[in-house]
Amino acid sequence: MVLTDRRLVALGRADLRDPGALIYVVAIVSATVVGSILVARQPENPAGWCFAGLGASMTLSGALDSYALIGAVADPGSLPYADVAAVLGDASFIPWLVLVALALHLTPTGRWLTPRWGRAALGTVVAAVVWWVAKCLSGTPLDPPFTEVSNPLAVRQLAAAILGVRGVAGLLTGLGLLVAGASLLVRFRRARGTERRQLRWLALVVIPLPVFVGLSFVGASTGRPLLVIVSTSGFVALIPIAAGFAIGRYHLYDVDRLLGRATTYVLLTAGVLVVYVAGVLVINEFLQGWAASDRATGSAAVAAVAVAVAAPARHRVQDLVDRRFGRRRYAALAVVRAHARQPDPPATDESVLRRALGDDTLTIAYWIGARRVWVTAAGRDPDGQGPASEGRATVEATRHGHPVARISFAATRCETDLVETVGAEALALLENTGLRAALALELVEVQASRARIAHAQQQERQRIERDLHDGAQQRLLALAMRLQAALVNGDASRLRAAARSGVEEAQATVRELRELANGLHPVALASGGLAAAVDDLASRMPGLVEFDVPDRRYSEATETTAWFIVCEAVANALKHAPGAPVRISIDQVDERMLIRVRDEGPGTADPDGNGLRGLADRAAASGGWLIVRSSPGGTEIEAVLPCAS
Amino acid sequence: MRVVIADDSVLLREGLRLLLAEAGVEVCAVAGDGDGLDHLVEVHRPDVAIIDIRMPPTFTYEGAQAAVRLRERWPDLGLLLLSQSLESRYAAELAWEHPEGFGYLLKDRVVDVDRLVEALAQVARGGTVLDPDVVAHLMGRRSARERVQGLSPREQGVLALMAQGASNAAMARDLKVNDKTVESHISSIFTKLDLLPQQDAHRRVLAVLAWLGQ
Repeated sequence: MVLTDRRLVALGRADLRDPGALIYVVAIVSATVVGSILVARQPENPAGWCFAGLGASMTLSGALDSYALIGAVADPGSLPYADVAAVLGDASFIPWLVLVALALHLTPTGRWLTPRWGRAALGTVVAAVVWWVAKCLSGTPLDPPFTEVSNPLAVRQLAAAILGVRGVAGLLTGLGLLVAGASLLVRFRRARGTERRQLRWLALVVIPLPVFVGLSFVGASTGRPLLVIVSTSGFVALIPIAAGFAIGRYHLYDVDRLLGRATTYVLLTAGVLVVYVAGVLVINEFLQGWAASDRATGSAAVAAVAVAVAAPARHRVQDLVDRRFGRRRYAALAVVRAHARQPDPPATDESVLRRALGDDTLTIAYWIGARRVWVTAAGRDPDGQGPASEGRATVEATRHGHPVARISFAATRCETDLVETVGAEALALLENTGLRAALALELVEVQASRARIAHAQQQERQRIERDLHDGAQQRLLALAMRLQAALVNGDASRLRAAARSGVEEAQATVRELRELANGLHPVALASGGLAAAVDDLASRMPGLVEFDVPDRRYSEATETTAWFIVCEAVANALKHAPGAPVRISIDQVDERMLIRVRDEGPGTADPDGNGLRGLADRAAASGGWLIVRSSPGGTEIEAVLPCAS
Repeated sequence: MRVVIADDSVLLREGLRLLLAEAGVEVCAVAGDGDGLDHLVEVHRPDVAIIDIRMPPTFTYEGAQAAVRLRERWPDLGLLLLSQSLESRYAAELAWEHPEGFGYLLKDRVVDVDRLVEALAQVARGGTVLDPDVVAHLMGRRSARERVQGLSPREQGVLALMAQGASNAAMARDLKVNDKTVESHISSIFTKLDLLPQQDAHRRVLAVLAWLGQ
């Protein structure tokens, strides 16, 4: 274009230089740059290709114009087919309109809004093609500066028909462009969350579309090429830029906020100036008799007043501007603030944020720092709430860098920035609920532990019932049958033999019953306390058992719990480290009993296994705790129980 | 009389085999589970199968399931279920569904060898035998207790024996009265409870069970 410009000057036809060249170049650059970026980033999105095509077609049209300008007007006959180039260049704005229409239809998703809108878009393409062909074939004079060039492609026999077709097709294309704009506005109205933000700027550009189209037609019909070029190119230049922001999701939220802040300060500065000027005028008008120094003081006072007014005014203005520019943000914060001021008992953090952000799938998890877990407000496991779930996004509200709560929401309904702002506003509420959630978590764990204890007791009862049925009862029944059989037989030797074996059987049964009872509550424990019971246990173990247990009595409950823990821990050692030495020690520190059972096995105990979990529950139920340390050197089970001495 | 025994406890089934042998009952074979029992019945075709309700693998109702299976395959086979604990609901259901040649006794009863042999004989004949504890339990239920109130204590005793499957002669022996007295008690019971009079002991059991199960 610059070359064309130079050539025109050289040919002495500077009057032919294009007055709208600059904006035309801007349009080409914006469409080409945006188009190539989009195609590079999202090659599957046809909107990017539309813009790239727009840039290319504008460049081509510029080249045709330049070629024709030099070859057909400035220096006629110097270039071949310059008249054809003039005709094609004259009609080359039609593809722009089509590509803009398609881009409006396809931004930002790359798909038609609905198949119906797609059909409208295809109709526009057809109308534009017809228009383009008709325009090329019609014999009417070309636009300036090509008015003198005669159209070599014109079909003069059908001039009237072609002119009619051309008019209708042109009208339909313009209509198609408006429909494309409407499609975008409908899409904008239906959009939520990020998509809405994506479309906002494009929508703002599209709203004056009818004006641009109208101006363009007016310019064309009244023969003002500058008007046509400025309106068409200006419009064409703006759309790719807005669409580029939209598809690239470029800091949408910040753009919004920056605009809001800028407007606030512009309004505020204007306000302060008005107050100041008015004040100075008043002083000058009414206090004419004052000395100059007094006037200076007066001016200073006025300035102070203006500044004083500015501070509260800033809030008002900011408020007003926020309402205009960030309606959703403003409304969301208002909901949270209203709840913080006057909490409505049935409302939870979740329900408030759901209302504020308009996302009824929103959930909140609270971070319990002491336990390093996320829980719901009820202290439960927030399953399926992780950042991994599809279509979900999460925002963490933090205080001094420590997590407080995690808000999980539908990415299609809320913008992350907005959720962050609302989360920060609700931080105090979230912290409060987090404290309650920590209590709830303890309650949940106590309930779970209680349920496990009850279950373990039930299982223990079943085991005892089975032991009694399968053991002692069977033996006694068999004994009775054998004695009865001997009686039925009646033979003296048979009777003697039956009685002899019967005595043995009865003794074995008594032993079995004693062991069963001893397992429930050992006699040694009841009579001699833990020291005697552990001694008894050690004597019955196959491997080496060392023990160090103080020979003194504790409350029955403490002794029973301690005994249960020692027995299970030893059984556990036998299971995981058969034959390995076991060491049992019981100590008393202040009002706590410290129980340690250590084996020198492979250290493969599982702290979450049934047995050890049951032990931990037993210890917790009596107000103590239990830890399992398992390492390749062995397993140590350590329990602490409260014991009044 | 020929029987087979299915019980998972070796101690118990050997004791039972010995006892029955001494009492003159031929024990063809013993098995430790339901599948083994199926095979024994197939091979030996006994008059009665004595089955422990609780057997491997789940130790719940394998014996009862085996009994139902055998009843379908061998309608004439007598079934005597043994149970270590009172499970009257299950026993009553089995009795209602398969009353002919069916018996249900607690394991403690088998030591009373006369009673065991009599029960086996009755089941082999196609009669019904229920453990007195089961009957007492059924009669002790509130719905039954209210309806039994109109009966005299002696009539209640006769009703219980009737439910156990006792014959008139056995009742007379148990209650130490003569047969005529037993018959008059029975007709009085049927009248008071609105039951159709029945002569056959086995049908009487059914009537009484149906009444108890109402």
